[in-house]
Amino acid sequence: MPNAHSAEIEALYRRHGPAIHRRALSLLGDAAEAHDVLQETFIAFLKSSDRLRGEAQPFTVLYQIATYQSLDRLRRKARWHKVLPTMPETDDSESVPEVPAESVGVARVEAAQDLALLTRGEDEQTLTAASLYFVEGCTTEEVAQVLGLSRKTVGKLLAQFATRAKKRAARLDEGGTS
Amino acid sequence: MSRQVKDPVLEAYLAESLDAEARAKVETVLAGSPEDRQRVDELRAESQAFLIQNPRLSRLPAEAASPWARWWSRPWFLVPLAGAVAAALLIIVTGDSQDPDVLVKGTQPLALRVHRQTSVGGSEELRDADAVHPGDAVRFSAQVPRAGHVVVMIGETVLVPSSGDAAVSVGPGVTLLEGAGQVDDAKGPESFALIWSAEPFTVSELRAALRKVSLDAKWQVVWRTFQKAQ
Repeated sequence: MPNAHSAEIEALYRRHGPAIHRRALSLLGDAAEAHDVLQETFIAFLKSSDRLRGEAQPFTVLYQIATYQSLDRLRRKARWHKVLPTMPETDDSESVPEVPAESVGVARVEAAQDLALLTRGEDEQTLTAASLYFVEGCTTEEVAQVLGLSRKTVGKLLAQFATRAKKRAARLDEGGTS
Repeated sequence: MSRQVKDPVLEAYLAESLDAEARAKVETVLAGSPEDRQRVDELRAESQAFLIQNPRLSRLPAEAASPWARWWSRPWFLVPLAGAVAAALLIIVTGDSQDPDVLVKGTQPLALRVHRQTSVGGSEELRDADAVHPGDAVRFSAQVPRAGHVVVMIGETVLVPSSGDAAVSVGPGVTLLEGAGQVDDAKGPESFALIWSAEPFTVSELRAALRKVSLDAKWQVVWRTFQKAQ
């Protein structure tokens, strides 16, 4: 009989694999590395099936894993570019600024590298929310849609992350790269 | 007018992972935004092209999923099993078209039918719930919206045409295709792609298009996937 686990993961791959590859490629800018992340993402997903006991859609979980894996790769070789938009000052969700569209896109990979350095130790959900917001230029509402969360929860996640990231950024500004 | 929906949201929309409210918002925007609808079409085309070139994961935990490498390209079915072919064709022509894998674009159905050689010398059409086995010999028929040209591929391996570079010319309706293959013992499901175009094209041209990441609108693709029993 076919291996049920393999059949499940292959079905997920056919449904979501191309989008996951695009996600990795958009962050890494390298097709070969994106392909490696694609493989690693599905392997990690298979090993982490308990994630699905919650309400998250498989795509959402895969998307977060791919983002995490991509930024982890970027972190290993990242330099501090200081191209990310300014971080908000407080943990009040209402204070999270919308990122102007013109601040992203051209320097996407550099912004992703900056974010990689700022997200060491962050969980996959926070890291994905931060990348969508600070690198892709999504609004909090769009981040909430992609992650299947409320806008308020996303605002809180981002604001708390920003507080931690500001401290890391200050250390990086002083001359370190990690 | 510029695009209004960002790629991450469109990807979630195409993955059907948005909640009802978010989905409705996206569909409202798409209804009034040709630029966003075009991007949706591009993402779908990119996905089709990606899956043709990367039909399966190359590795899975605790098991290697190697490419389905061993294929026979000779038309073994035609000469020794001519009677079986006629029987299969009769089934195709008269059978119900309830296949969920049929892709409908506009009002024209495009479908790939997969036939397996039986132990008694006949053939059977595989349904989606069927599993294939190592050693199974299979061939294909194409149901196309109108006269055109087809190629059948698994990964980057071309099964139809069995020789030459030109896509096989087919009339409207169902056509049994020359070219066949044998299932090997690599683990994982098998996915076949039927590529159809109203215009003549070559395999070389198709490969070049696939390398461009996205397929042009001239091609339509339909998939059949079967689990493999070991």
